[in-house]
Amino acid sequence: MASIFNIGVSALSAAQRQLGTTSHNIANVNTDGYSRQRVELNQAPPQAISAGYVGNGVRISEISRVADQFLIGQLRSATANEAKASAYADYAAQIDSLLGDGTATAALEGFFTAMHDANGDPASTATREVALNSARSFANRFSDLDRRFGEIARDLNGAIESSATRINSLSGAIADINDQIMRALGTSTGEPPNDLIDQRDRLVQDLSELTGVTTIAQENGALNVFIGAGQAVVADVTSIPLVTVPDPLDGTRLEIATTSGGTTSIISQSITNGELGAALDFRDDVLEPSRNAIGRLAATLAVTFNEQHREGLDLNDAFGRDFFTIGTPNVSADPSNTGSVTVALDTANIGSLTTADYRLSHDGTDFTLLNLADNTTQTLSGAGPFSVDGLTITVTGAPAAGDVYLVQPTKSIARNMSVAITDPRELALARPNRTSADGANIGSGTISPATVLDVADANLLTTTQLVFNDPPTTYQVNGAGPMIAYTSGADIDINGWRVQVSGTPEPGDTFTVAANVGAAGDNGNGLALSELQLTKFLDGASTTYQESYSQLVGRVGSKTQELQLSRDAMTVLRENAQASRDSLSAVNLDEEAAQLLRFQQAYTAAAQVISIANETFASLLAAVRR
Amino acid sequence: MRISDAQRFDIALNSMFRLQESTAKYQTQISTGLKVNNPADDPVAAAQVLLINERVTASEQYDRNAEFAELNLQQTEGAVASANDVMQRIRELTIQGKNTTLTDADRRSITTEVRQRLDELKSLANSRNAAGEYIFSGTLVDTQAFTTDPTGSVVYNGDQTNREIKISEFRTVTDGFTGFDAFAAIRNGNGTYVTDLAAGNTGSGRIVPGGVVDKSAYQAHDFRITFTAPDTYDVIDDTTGATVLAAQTYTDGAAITFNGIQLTLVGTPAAGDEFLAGPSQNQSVFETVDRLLATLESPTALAADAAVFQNDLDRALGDIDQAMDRFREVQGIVGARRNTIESQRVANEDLRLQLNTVRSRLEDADLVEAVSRLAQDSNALEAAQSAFVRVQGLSLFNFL
Repeated sequence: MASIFNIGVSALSAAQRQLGTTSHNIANVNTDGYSRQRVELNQAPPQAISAGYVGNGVRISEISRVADQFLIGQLRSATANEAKASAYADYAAQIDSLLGDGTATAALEGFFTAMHDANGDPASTATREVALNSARSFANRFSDLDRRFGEIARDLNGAIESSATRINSLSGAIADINDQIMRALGTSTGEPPNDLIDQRDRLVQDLSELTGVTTIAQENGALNVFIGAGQAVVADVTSIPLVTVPDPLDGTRLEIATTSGGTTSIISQSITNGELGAALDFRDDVLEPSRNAIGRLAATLAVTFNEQHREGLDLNDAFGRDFFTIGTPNVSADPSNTGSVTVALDTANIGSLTTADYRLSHDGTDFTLLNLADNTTQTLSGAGPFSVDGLTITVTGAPAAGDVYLVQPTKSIARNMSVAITDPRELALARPNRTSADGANIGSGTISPATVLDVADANLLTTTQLVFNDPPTTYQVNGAGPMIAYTSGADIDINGWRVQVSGTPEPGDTFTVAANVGAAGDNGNGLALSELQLTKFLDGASTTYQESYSQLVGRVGSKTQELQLSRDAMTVLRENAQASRDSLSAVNLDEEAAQLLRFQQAYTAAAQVISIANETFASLLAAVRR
Repeated sequence: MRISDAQRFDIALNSMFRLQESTAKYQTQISTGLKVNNPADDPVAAAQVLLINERVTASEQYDRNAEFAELNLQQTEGAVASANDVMQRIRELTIQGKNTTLTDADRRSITTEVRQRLDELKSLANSRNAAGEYIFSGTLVDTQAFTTDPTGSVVYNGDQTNREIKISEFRTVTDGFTGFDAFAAIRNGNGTYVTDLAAGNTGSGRIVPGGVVDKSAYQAHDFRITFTAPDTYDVIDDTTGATVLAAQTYTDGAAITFNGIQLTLVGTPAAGDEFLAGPSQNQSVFETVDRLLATLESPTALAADAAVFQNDLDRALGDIDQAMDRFREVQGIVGARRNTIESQRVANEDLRLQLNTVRSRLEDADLVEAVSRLAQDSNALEAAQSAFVRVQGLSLFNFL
């Protein structure tokens, strides 16, 4: 009799527990990361009687969590990948639309268009003023671009900072839950605390969104969490916080680091996944190369334009001065350096300038220049100055082994770009020399316009005459000195200029090269300035200004496109992983409704068993009383 | 497969997100007319479009340059054509002046008109453009091209630099002429050599210039025909001092050939008379007219003076013809340049058409396709929305 009661009660309490667990499942239908739970039942140990074993009812063996750590791990890594691809694509799209909006190329075109107009009417200060204005808006556009890059870099530092803060608070929370789980396992029956494990999985999932993680489950129930190349952020019940520090050689870059025993080690390089990995990769692979490319274009254009401008005469008959002002290459020296160097743009080899940053180090005998973009090195032996990759590196203090410099040739060029000239009369459109045939010449000889070979020649503007001898197979400079053989059309290089005389001069015929004073209508140098637009200067004289810009747009565009495609693919993978996990672990309300009915029936039946036991007992009592 | 509630929700939501993204994309394409709205939409096309834009802008600029050059050339052409007309009139007046029956009054009125024409010529050579720049000063546009110096002769103050204007990526055109080339550096005589009478001739002999008959024998030397007797002459190369022909017998009107040139002496020279033939020199059109004026004002009563007068008028006619040849040459060159400009403008336009076609193919949206895709996607979106509502309504709890 007692056993019927006991069996009934065990069934009743099992059904009650099942109803309770089903209700818990229903209650958590919308809880992220919740794994549905199930009451696992067993038969209670039977009772031996002479005829054999009699059943003893039901027993709850455990409340289990329907979850598969493999699926959870997959979802975690898919989440990290998606978070990275998605954040990276968003970052890159910023640069993509910044460069692709067409205003920079329009400003570049506008500048050269205005130069053409000035060439059409060089004597007009109005067209010169327009050319200056267009140059200014071009320079402004480039420095604005650089400023935008700077803002994005600052925003990125903010994102890195807040990622680190969030990682720290998540790893702290995980360590807390580790503690609770270890206690739960230690004190109770040793059954797993399902809801705590779900919560911990969710925190690890959130963490993996920020940076890819690897986890190792411990015997004691704790979960150790690692990021990057095995850097522990949670070990049992302790969390190891990350810190952010400025790059020692480039204070504008915030880096992720860990501190241990007072030493700070930067681990940014090893963080490649999640939103933080996206921010760090974007900075190295898109933002800074783009910024450097704009800087390089500004440097090349300004240097080549200035060089040509200096070879012309302005409306005041003075040689042109620098047209554009630009920034200078950045050099950051390690505080422990003993020597010192300066780095300047090498105007003669500006075509070799790259978009890379460099690390310059000294080993006691030689300097080594490491290109940080492609990791190639060049050894610079001797005392310098060294001319390398469009730069002139000058050693200004005795170097010592261990000296390290970060050289950023193009980073600050565009930000400080401006037009140095304010007076339109100072636009040097005229050639420095004019050539003429003497009016009394009787031969058919003609002289070409003079081109400048060396603007620094002290005698460039000195009036020079080529006087033909009798017979006119030779000529003399200024009618004296050595007799120079005459070849029609051959180059004649004197005093830093070059002319050609063609035709048949007669004895005494004279050709004059003189200073081109007052030539307000001359556009000879202006044409040369315009021609720069079509000249291939960059990448070792293989790319024009515009081509260089459009290559940059193409490069950033393809990177962005690639990232967007990868984001779409990663999203599908994450959705699939989520679906696999949800298919197993998430709540289905229909299922729970059915379970409710089933457990309710079981409950009713168990109650019936107790009622029957009661009635049986009552009838027994009644029989005894009679 | 077991489908959880969360999955059911996600499936519906994710498909709606995708459809919304895609309808937004086609909506942008339709509203901008472009399929490349950001470089990432098609990086290769975006980079190409930038380069095409540059070439289109440049080509439009070349057309503006061409217009500018055309304007300058028109002005040059107009001035030179007028100068040619003036010279034509002076030539007519010169031929009138040769008439031996003219009275002094007739000659004075001819002289007066030639003087007026000379002024007209000067003002043409000092033409200015709309900006007040002298068009015949070369690049010294602020300097008056021709002025009269204290000795009364007209001098050129400009330079010999021609200004080039770019009318395509590979072609430039000179947008004018310097006064040096158009008015000043004109060869006198017959263009190769020039003849004259020595001062102080007493006979009535004069030279008919003739021309070069043997180019290979010609040397740019000064020659002198000296009459040792009224019927005997020597030809001396003044440059070398050598006697080229000695003791030749003179026949009125017979050709004399030396140094590859052939000229004729007419009239009656006296012993000691000399006739000169030397290489042509540059002589400005103004000097030509000045000399003509001096000749017209010179006396003709004596036989020797009459010979000089006729000789100088012949020479003036030659010089005038040289000037007119130069003007016609300038007009021809200007015409050729304008043709070049015109054909380049057509070529520029063709290039732009071609570039715009390529650009349109690269970046323009296919509107028909975009509209039909948009319709398709918005239908699908509606279907997904109604499916979501329907599926969410299904629950066993409804039946409990």
